[in-house]
Amino acid sequence: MPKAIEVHNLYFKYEDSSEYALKNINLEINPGEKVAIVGENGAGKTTLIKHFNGLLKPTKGSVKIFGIDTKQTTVASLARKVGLVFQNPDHQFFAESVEKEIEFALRNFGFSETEIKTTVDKMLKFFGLEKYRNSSPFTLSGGEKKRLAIASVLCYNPDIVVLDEPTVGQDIIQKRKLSFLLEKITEMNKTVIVVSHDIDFIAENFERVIVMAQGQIIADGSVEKILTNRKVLRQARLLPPQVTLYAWHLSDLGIPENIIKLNILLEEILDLIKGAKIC
Amino acid sequence: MLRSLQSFRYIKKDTIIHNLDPRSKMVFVFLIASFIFISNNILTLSVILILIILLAFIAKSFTQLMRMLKGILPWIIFIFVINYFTSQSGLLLASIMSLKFATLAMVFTLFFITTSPEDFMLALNKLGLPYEYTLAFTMAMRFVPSLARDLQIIIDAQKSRGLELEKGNFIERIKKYIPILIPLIVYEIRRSFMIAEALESRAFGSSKRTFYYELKITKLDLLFIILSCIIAIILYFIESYFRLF
Repeated sequence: MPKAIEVHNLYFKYEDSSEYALKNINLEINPGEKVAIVGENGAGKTTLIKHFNGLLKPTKGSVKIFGIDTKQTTVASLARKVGLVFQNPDHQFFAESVEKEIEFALRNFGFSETEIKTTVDKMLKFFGLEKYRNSSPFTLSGGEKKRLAIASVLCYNPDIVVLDEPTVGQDIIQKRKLSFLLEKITEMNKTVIVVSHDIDFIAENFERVIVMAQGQIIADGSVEKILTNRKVLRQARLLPPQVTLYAWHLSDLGIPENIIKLNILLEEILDLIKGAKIC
Repeated sequence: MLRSLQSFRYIKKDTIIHNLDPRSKMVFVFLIASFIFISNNILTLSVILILIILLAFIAKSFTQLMRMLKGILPWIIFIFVINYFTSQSGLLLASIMSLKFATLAMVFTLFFITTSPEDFMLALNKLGLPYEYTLAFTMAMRFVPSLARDLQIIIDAQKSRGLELEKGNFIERIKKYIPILIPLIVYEIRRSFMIAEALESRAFGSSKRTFYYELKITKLDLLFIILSCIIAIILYFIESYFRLF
């Protein structure tokens, strides 16, 4: 079975720039995997994900989606497989109602009227937007707009879902809804890729993380290993998850340094207290 | 689209042309533009063309100027073709008209790519235009690159949802621009309100403002103005006494 995404020696240079925005990127993502991409501003994260649906084509090297080279096909046919949700929902809303906004992609991809109706109903229900069916997308709150943006991409059932900074400007309730949503999308056996600065969100919701700096991948592996690696974090100018910071502060007491999940940290602290009592 | 818009953008460089006072550059642009408007002599226009290219080299902005020229090339060809087929003198008039258009675009572009919007605003202010108007003008200029960037993001976002701008007949293709223009207009209107609020928060219009940086006419500026006048006299002589045809 081909990989969901296969990137080989990818180099990319913007037309008006003399420097490469992406340098020697090599990457493999399996179908059904849930991957986070992190890195400071200008590290090349968005440039990389724009290669996944062919909006950008490699200057050198190749990007393959389920074995198909992005250079050999159109954005429209790739977009059918790779759903890309942009950071700012205001950059895509135009329809007079929430319902029509979801319909847009379905009509572009040639879905039948019955399919459109059932899919829109399903999406509105799934994303809790039923009561806004006939409202203008511009009147929604920040969290609702974000959910609508995701719904308007997820509706055509792409195999790979890529989200650019989904937690920006979202409160804790919206973030929890987003975590739940990512869980559901993964359950549907879809490949999920999220670009984010929100280290705590990544630590709680992902297993694999790719770290980028200056157009290169500097680390790729499990969140436990990467997000607790001081050298990698320093190089990518990232802070560790809050839980890891606590663990580091408590390391003198015997707490392991590679903890990123709250429940594990709590268990370790409880064990420590129990041990102290026994002594 | 982004690239051709980029060619009008001011890029800070340390050259004589960049360091001149905008007012002295305005004198030059005014004189040259006047000659372009009144001239019907291909020799005068050719001299102007060479002069602009020379100045572009001194300003280290030749590539940027050529990029702009590449952007307007379809219009130059359009003007040439229209004049060639509609006038009696054909080739000569077509060449003159397209040369007029190209040189005019070049002289104004050279001014804007070598003059920072702030300096331009100060110069307009010094020339008596109210601050509110000069600010509106420079802000409009400043937002061209961000407008182009927003446009690109919106196109990418809609293409990612299956919009194919290249497909369909003429009417269908025009209709396909609706999902691009609506988010762009809404987004920019919202942004303009935010900018207005930000300006008011920074006490815009509360009293007569002063400027931290004042423009000064230097000896170099005077020299440039005198040189511009000499060039104008030479151009006048060419226009009056030398004709190729």
